[in-house]
Amino acid sequence: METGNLEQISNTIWELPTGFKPGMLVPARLVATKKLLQEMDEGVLEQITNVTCLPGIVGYAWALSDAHWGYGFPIGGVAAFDLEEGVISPGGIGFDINCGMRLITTNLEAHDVLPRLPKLVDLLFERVPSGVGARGPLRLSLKELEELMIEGAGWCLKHGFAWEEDLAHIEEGGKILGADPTKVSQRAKERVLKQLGTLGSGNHYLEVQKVAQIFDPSAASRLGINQIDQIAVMIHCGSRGLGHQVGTDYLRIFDNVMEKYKITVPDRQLVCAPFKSPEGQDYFAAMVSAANCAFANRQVITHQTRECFEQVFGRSAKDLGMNLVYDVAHNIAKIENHKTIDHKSEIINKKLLVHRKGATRSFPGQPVIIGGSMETGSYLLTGTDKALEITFGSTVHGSGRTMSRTKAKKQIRGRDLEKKMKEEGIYVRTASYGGLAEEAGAAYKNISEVVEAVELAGLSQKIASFTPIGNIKG
Amino acid sequence: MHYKFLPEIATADIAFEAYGKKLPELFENSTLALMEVMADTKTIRPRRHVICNMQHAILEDLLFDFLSELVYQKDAKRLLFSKFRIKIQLSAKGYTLNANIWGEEIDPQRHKLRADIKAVTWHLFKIEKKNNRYLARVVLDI
Repeated sequence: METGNLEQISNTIWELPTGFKPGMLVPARLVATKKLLQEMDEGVLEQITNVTCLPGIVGYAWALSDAHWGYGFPIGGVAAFDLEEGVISPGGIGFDINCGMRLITTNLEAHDVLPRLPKLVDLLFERVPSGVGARGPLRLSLKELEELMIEGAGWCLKHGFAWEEDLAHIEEGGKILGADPTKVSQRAKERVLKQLGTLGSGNHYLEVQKVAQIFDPSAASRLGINQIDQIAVMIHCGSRGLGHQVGTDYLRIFDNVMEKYKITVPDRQLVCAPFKSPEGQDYFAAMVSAANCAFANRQVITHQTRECFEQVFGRSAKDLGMNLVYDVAHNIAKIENHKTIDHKSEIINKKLLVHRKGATRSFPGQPVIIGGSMETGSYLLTGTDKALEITFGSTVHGSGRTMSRTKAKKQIRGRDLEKKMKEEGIYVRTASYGGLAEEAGAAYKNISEVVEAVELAGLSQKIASFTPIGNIKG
Repeated sequence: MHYKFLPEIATADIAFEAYGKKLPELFENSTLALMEVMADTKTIRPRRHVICNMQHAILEDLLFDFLSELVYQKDAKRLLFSKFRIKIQLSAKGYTLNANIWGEEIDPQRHKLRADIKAVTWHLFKIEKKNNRYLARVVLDI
């Protein structure tokens, strides 16, 4: 990225002022070390400054350390809007509504699991379907699906897919208020009906990991992370076809009403509607329905994972200590109270609609789960007061890609990668070798650098890191 | 060349360009490219016949909606397609598409499956005519 137009605010914060391009209502700010900034693609600057042009935007538009270009907002983009004057934009949430991360501990250590790892991962691959056309274990009626959209993880508790204590360890208790399945199209419901309990494809995964480093032993211990080589499971997936279709449907709807609300946007993927408009409210209700579905999907996968461990290790999941550490969304819009200072030094203290697109909520004391590539590992962090102060309580979600899927597939052979990972001690099962090649570590930014940058910026603090030993992918 | 993938754009996803001397060929090649993202179409038998009719005033919107329909079919009906006969007509009402497409239900044992498509995006989406040939550029969210 050409950094000449950026003003350095601190060692990790950079600003593009409103004069950078016509239409900017507020400045854009980026959180990154100089190195990460220089490695970012130019699309990030273009897209985050497009976001600053949206009506009712409050404070700064933020691009975080893992930013790369996306659809409308960049991935790693955060922006907040006034509830009365501002807009809601599907491009600020993404097609995969509530794509998110979940971390589950166990009381097993690597030496317990390694002898049975292929058996465990093979069983997980069988029981947690992934890839194109994967069919999940649930057979729901439309009515049951609609209940699930309202209840989220609570539906899973009622139907035997959750422990009672799980819900307290999910963002919003696994149920965001405001869902309305009548605002979700029949097509969206049809897309997801057979998919609940499936992983999806692309960068989604279920990973068996071991604790590599503990940075904050007392914080780690409070979250059930007690020693190096302790085994954990990380799940990365979203709302499946439901969220994807809601995104597609509302892009169309908003496209057709922009003129009515006299809104123009520089990028068609940034279409939006006033949050308080009927269309804006409908999309919010549909988005929340999809978000609750994603919480439920990750909960069903958790249930299946617990069953696999029980079968392989011959003990109950409770005995194995398979507790949920936390579950976070990283593609979502939430109504939250925020107090911050804008670029005119005016105090903002009100409810805002915060869009997080490939960005994780990072509230003080809240666990933050950041996934790296399947070869490099992941991190558990905690949110901070500083994040609340500057980025509407937000931090990064992952390492971000540096190489396109097409390029990765040309340079890397999936079967060679599988062999290489096995030599590195990672047993992987995949529904597609092409898909595996696309997810090679070489195609991603260095997760440690991304995490160091947000820690330096004060947005989240490291608790522990994990390295993969087993992985299932679509 | 019916289509090609574009390695320099769409870091996190997949982009392609499809070509055709006439619009039906352009739409068929765009369909083929989209299907090839998800599976080797040579492994998909043309056993189930689906008819799809749609209309739009704007050509790009017609292609967008048709490709989105295929993504919907993949999830809702679990169908992938390998044979396509598409007609496009232009009238005062706009563009009308009549598509006959053949495929079968997804079978991981027989089909060489690849990436799952979440959605067709508007990002860099275009249809243009250059040197007597149509070109469509599409970016897919994976």
